[in-house]
Amino acid sequence: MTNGSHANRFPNSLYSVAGIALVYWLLYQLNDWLFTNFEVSRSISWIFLPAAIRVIAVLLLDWEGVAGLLFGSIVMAFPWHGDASVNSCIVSVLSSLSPMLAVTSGAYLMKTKADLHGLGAKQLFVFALLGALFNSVIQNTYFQLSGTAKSWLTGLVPMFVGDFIGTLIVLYCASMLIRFSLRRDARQSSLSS
Amino acid sequence: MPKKATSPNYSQTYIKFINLAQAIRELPTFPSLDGAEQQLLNAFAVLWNQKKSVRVLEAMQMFPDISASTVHRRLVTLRKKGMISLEADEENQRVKYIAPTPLAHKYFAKLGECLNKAIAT
Repeated sequence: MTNGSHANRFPNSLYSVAGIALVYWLLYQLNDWLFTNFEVSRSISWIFLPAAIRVIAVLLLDWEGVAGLLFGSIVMAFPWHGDASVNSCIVSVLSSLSPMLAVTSGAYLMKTKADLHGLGAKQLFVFALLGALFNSVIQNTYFQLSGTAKSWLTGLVPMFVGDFIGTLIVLYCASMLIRFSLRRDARQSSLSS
Repeated sequence: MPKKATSPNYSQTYIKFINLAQAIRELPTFPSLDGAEQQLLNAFAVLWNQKKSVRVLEAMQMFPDISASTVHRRLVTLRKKGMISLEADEENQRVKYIAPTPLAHKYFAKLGECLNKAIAT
């Protein structure tokens, strides 16, 4: 590969990272607006929509997805911690790396193809489940070790449920949106022909 | 997939996007049924409720306003959508019975719920 092609890719990578970070942040704001009552703490909610982007970003963009999630997490953490504390940076790194672990292990277990060919609803459910599992276990282990949380389970259960439900909600909304747009396109093409 | 640590190929990312969109589109919900499929399913539901079995050949002659070939095509699509299954007769394997699937039972239960709600309001 030439240096030129690397140079050409750089802006694309930057756009991907910025795009993922932006979508992550927007979903976080939407979650905050819609499901404030479901919040257990600042970082744990019984419904957590941005969890869907974690899995989708890594499925589509691999490490660029991780970079986008990390950037988005740090941007989201900044307003509350102000000083971008070491603790919030560690949580951001963990929450960005956990979907990579989930996708890697899921792809290994289900023998998913590199281009996602043949990916079905069942595999998506497994990825969503693994994403929720890895994220909740890793983050809550850190909370426990760092002394941030009093009990491991009280954080783990709502985070796992929140991530899984949040992912399903976003996937189903996307599913309905795709079906609706396909139906509309079909109707328009049948009207024009 | 994550195995590769090199920067991604964007045409590959697009292919992944198409495959992911397809998987998202296929998330299980109640399949959308067209008018003929609904008509068939409703007629079968009445018979299933009376504990009567419905043979494929009978079904093809059951609807005066729908041609036998259309009924057959709709039986195929209903089967693909997971709403009916075809069960072979124990004595004569060539005779096939149309049977409801668990999804069809859920579909009618959901319709019943909607109807109850509509009556209640």
